Amino acid sequence: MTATQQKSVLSRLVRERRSIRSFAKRALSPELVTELLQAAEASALPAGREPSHRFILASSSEGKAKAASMIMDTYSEQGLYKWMPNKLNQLMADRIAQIPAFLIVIVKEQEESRRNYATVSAVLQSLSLLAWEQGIGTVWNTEPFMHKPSFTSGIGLQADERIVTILYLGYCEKAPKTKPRTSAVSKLTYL
Amino acid sequence: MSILSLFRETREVRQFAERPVFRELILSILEDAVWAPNHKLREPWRFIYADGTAKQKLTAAVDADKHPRLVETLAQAPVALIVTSPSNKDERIDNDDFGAVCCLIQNIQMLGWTHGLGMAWELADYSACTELRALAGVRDDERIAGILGLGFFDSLPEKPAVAPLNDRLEVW
Repeated sequence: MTATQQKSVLSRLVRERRSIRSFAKRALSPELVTELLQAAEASALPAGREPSHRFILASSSEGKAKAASMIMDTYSEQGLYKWMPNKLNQLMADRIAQIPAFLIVIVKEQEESRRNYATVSAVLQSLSLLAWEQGIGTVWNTEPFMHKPSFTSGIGLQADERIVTILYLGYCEKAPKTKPRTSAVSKLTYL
Repeated sequence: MSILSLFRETREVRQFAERPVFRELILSILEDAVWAPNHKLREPWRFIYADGTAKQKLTAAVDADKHPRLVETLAQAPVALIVTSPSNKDERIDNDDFGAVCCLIQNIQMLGWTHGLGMAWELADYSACTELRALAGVRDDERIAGILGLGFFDSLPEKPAVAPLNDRLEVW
């Protein structure tokens, strides 16, 4: 790919990427996600700073079932879904299990934790762009369930760690419609 | 061939060439970059652009003992771009918005690279930098998500070795 091609391909990826919430059934290979994640880190990790984040990638059916059952546990822990009939519970569990892959993103809470959060967000953006090129959609999930003890203990979260997001990934069948964006001009001040 | 090599090659730049950067180029990059993911389409970013004497004034407003890296970047880079995100009492919204702005900053870095521009992303606790914040017009309800130094560069900086992902990736 020439420099000119890279310029137009990247511009297109940035503008066409959408958050995807409903995925094709096709499985996602953990090797591919790992390769993309490696390139994403190469693009976004600042020099001279040890990464203070880690990932759990759940993409096997056992791995996803484990994650899904932990998510369901947090719902019952909240007491919110006690009234739900088992059938509905099962429906929710199935829906979660249908997501081809979860990437649980964990960052150390320490000094400069905001810097660490920024770095890992940048890694995830690069990953989302690289994934989109492969026809893979992503979405950031930041629902409160992921901070509940039954989930955090299930994934072995340490006392000084925090979950940034659970990124959902999978091949997308069709992209949602474009919503227009506000031009940068109206958000820009020249000093 | 895929675009993987672009991502593998992109790196932080801290030494810039003096060649001027045109405002139109930065603006065209920003018009692409605002397609970053964000929650409920809040588009929670705001940009403050400084070059020339405005940038010199910003540089002079920073305590070099407390923020030596920032002063170096502001002095070195032909363009300084401050990107803010709104502070919010709701922790989830606050984090979601900050994360979205960081995605946008990553877009700027990647898009800039394809135009030959390098970027340094300065981020520390600048809440006590009252002079800088006042000069730049950063509001009390905003936080600085990044002070970006942007410019062309003469020599490609060395690519730092990335700590192996294997040690930080658990696969279920």
